[in-house]
Amino acid sequence: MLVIGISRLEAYWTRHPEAEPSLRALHALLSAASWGSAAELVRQWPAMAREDRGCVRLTLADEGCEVMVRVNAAREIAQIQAVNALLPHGATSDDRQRTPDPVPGGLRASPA
Amino acid sequence: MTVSVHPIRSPADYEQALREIETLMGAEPGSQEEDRLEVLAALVAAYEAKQGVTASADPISVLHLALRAQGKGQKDVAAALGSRSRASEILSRKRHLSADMIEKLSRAFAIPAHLLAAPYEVATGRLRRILIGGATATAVVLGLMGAGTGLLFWHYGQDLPDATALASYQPPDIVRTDDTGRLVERRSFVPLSRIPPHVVKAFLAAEDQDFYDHGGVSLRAILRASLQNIASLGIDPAGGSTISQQVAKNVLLSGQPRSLERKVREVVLARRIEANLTKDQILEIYLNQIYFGGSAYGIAAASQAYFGKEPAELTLAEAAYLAALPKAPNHYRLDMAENRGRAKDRRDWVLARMADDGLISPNAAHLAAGEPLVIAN
Repeated sequence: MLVIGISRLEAYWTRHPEAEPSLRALHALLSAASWGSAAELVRQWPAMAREDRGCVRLTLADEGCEVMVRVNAAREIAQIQAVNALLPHGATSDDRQRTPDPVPGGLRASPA
Repeated sequence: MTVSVHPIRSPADYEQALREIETLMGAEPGSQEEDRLEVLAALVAAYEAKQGVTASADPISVLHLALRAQGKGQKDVAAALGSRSRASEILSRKRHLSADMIEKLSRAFAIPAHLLAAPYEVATGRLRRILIGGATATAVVLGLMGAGTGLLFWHYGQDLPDATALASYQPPDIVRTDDTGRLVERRSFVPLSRIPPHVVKAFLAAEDQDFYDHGGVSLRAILRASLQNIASLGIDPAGGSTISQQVAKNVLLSGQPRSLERKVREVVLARRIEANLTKDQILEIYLNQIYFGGSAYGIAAASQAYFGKEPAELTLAEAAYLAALPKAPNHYRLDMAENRGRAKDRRDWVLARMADDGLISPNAAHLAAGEPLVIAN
């Protein structure tokens, strides 16, 4: 699969270096994959992926972030649209979408 | 069909292309929008590659992420590899993945094999700590030994005899008898120029092979002697003293008992002797000073005592025998019947060593070893 939007990953791991190995691994796995649809991705990665409004949301809980990916299976293109810091328990999905990584360091750097 | 796109030359172009791609990702299959998506995606990918943003991953991170994504864990890795300990070591980066493991993991977790085959560092953990600790301890011990040795040399290096005086020293001609008229010391000086080369070579082979290469002390000789002594379990111990050290011991430190202090002084003086005398001067003093057993001191007295001739008349076999004596004169002296067997062995050893060092031909050594070893009447 042709994965574009690497700059989104890089921007995140520049602020959160501890997430870099996993984000690089994610990019490598996406690049090597050949899923027939976004649904197939979700089926194969059930513990991490779920479909959300035409996107696939990949949750990396240990790294405190989620990666939004849009897939065009016919042309084998995956676009990384955003990498959001996970908000504390109780925050809504809408909250997350409104505040992509608002605080450098994500949860770990949160003053709360 | 043609797709009109602008080249991506700046971050602004790049961001705009990403925004457009976002809207095109859901394009109908086979539509013009989908073609445009493909072209734009290729341009974006090329721009990202040009910017140097690479996302190479290390195999263990890939494995961890794939396991997490599939809701699997170490137990599943152990099942795939057929070993719990191997799974633990792999996931904690304590060992590298073998080709067989890569194949099993690739099949079990649908991970492309090339992602697991990339090189990565293993955390050697305990072994690394042991090695670092060992290296540090060795450095400390070596440092302390160096400081101790320096202190030792400084301490014993005080109040030493003047080595420069040896430059004008010439061993005296002496004939000394005891109260009963028995000869106890005989010594007569002979200049180096009257000592034939094969005689000098015999002494160099037997006593100091590196004489012309060292500055008074030969680490190679010390190491060689140590190894020989270990191999022979201390039987017939070899010495690591150079000719310069022997000159220091016999001329400047004569009469001093064997001790660590004398050894250190020998080393210090040997270096000073080398700094003030030529190699020929050192050799001349040595050959005229050394004890050969009985009452013979110096090569001239020894030649007379054992073979009744001048040094210039010594054959190769005789020279080799005399060179064998300084190590243990009373052990090899020919005038004692019980010594003859080992004296010949020692002489033949000197001849072999001369041949090994290229000082004489093997043939000459063989012929000389065939000569009987007999004392002059």
